[in-house]
Amino acid sequence: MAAGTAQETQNFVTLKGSVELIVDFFNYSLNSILYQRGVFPEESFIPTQHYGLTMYMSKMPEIKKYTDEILPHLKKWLTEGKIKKLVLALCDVNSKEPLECWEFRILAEETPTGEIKQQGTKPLKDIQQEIRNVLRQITACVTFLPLLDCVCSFDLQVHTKKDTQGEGWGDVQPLSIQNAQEVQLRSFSTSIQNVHTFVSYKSV
Amino acid sequence: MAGSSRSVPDDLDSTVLRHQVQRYFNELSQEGPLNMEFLSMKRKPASSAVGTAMRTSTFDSFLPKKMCFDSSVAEANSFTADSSSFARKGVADSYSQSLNKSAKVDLTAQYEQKLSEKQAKILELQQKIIQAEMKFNSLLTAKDQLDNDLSNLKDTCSTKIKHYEDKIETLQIEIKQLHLKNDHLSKENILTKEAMDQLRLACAEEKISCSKELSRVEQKMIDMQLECEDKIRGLEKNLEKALWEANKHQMEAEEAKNQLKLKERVASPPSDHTTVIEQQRQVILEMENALFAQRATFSQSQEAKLARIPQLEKELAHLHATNQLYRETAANELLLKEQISALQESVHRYKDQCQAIPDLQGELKKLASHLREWESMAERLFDANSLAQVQAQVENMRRKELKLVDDIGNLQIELNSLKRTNSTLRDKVEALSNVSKTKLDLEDRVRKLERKLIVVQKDRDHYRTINEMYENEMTRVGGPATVSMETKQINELERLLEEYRELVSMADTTPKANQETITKLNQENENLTKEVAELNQTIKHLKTQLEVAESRGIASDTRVLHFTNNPLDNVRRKTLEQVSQLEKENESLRERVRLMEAGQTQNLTLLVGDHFEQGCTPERLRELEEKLKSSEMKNQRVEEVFRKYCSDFRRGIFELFGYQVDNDECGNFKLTSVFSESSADYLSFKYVGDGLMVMDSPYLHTIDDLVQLHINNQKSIPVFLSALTVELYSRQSINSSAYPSVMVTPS
Repeated sequence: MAAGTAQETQNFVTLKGSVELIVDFFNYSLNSILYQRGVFPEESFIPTQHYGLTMYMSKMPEIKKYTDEILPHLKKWLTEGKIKKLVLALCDVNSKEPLECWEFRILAEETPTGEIKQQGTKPLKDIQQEIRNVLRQITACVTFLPLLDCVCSFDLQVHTKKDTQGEGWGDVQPLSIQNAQEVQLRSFSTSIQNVHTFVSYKSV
Repeated sequence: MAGSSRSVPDDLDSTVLRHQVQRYFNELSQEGPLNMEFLSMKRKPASSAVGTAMRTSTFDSFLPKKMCFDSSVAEANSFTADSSSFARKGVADSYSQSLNKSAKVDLTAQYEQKLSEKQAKILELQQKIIQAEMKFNSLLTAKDQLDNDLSNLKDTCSTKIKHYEDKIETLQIEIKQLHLKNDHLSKENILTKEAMDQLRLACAEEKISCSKELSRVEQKMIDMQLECEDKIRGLEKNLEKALWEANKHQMEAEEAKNQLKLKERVASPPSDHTTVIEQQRQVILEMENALFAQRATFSQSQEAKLARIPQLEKELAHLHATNQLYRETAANELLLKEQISALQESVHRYKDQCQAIPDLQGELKKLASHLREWESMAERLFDANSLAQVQAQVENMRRKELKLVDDIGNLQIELNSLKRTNSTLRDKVEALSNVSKTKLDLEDRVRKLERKLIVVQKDRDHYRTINEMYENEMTRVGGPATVSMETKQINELERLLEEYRELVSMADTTPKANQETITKLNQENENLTKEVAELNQTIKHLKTQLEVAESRGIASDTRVLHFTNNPLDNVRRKTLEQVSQLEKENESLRERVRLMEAGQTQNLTLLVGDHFEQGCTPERLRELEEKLKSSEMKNQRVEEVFRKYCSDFRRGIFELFGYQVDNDECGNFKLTSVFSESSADYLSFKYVGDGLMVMDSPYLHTIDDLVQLHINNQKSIPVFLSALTVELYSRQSINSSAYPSVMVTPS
């Protein structure tokens, strides 16, 4: 999927390939978090193989529709270098209180002239290995994160530059968890963009 | 028909038949002697073959009856005998054998039977041969037709070939013409070249001569100039010399004069000296004369030279002109050179074209062969001889294709519409299934609630019965219960009394109450100060949170977006809807329970519905409608009254002041006088700030004097209007009695 977009001649990713990799990673992370944190019932997920790992992807039509709608926008904005971070918030449905926030901070590497790099220098295998490690850590986070014992749902907040606009997107107040505890997970880099993953949760 | 064409064994059926006949005869020959002349018959025409067949059939029909060999008959009918001699021979032999051997009569009879069968077979075969020959004939006719077609095709081909040959000839002629043209042009080119060479040579010679002449003239000029300069220098030298001499002479003369004066002074009147002096004076005079003469000659020579200067200038100008001419000729030479190069280029081009001619011929041949191939293909595909027919067929095919494409498009559209309808139907079916599911759920709930209701009713009945039982028991007990009730009432009344007493005491002690209120207010104040402090703390906390958020990356240049159709909002919306629905349901069920408790058992659902719709009863609706009608009527009447008042007011103004006042959309007042001569004579006023201002109009320019006087000077609009009225009235020739009839009152 993403490997197809990577340049085969040199085996180094381009900006487009990097964006594809990040968006794919985000999609799998989102589904994995929803599955691991029990936001939606277990039977609404199907196991699939990606990066040599068994990932659980949601088969609920509303989730699929949601991801299908947001991912192209994310791709476009990532290519334009407009996204600063993606925050996946798990909230209580009744009180709308955020209980858990998964942050994916994206830092684009720039050329000396201040433009986004168009060609990476890292082999695709190494990038995939790094992504695999991050996904493994996300799965392992269940061990220390507190149990979500209420009806939860999720929302995605995209921290972008001021001039970003997209159809169907609206401004929102940034979420913050009171008495939050933040844990940094592993990062990965496509040598064009770096992705740092954090999880913050309400400490009891 | 040619016999040779017949002898060709091209028909498969006939050869097979022949082979069969041959085999049959071979069998017969094995059995007995065979007359092979029959075979020769098959090469005879079909009619004769039929005739012989008929004859042989007639002959053979009699053969078994005669059972003898008649040589005379055989001789008389040699032809028929020839055809069936092999049979007769066989019969004769068998007959002689029967004569010789009477014991073999049966065998002969069998033999005869066999013979007759075989003869029948022969007849059949002959018929088959005839049929084959007929087929052969038909094939021959077909072949003739094909030959004819072939010849026709050959003719058409030959005509086409002739046509193409003609074309090729014309093209060759053209090529020849081109060759000739080319030759002619090359000749011309050579001639022009030669002419150009000649011209070039001539030009070169001329140029050389001109350059020589030029150089000569220039040399001459230079020489002349040098000469002139030398002469001028010499003359100048002479002049200087002469001047110097003149000066010298003057000096000498002065010296002589001085000496003379000295001598005159020294020698008192020496007569010799005077003579010497006179002599010397004479000498001086002579010398002066000579000097004058020299001067005159020198000046004359100089004048002559000066007179020659214009001539020399003329010569110089002429030489300049000649020089210019030579330059122009040199430029012309360049032009000619360019022309020559252009001609050479054209020659090259012609040569290239000549070289390309064989290629073109080859291409022409190729194209001709292509054309032939196309034509043959067109003939094969469309059975069309001419290009127009092929075009027509191709157009037909295109039209058909377009039609088919159109049909496909229509079908696709239909398919899409069907798919859409299918999808909508599916959605509807799904929606219906969902509705049915919800309905089933609701029914289940209703059933459960009904069951609960029954249980509750049973409980109620049970409690009622218990209550009744208790009351019965109480009534049975009697006295002590009533006493207890009375004591309870007394206690309550005492409590109330105490409360009243407290109130009265409170009223007596007002300062105390004031103090209490002050303390209360103080407490409230303290509480409020605490709250303020708390709020300050929360503000601080929020500020710190904001700082933390900013440090996390929510900077001023960051925008936080989320997808409006996100799962959290959707789930919240759904849950809220569910809650509201459940609340409604709960309310209705409560109402139902209430009604059931009130003793209602029938039409419970309708009653519940009515209860919910009480907010908009029909009576209330009627009331509201009546109110609306009355308010509308009121509005209408107010409008009518206003209109009447307005028209009366305007009429009054019109009749009193003589101006019809109209108000347009822009808020301008249009004043038309009663005495105005046309409808275009009107004045317009507009509110600017606090006061009215006259707007510019064509009519206003006709009454400039009034405007100047009353508006500009007196600054009064009423005076201006009155003056205008008077002016217009004075202009009117009719008397004032006509005024009311002329007047058209405004509506």
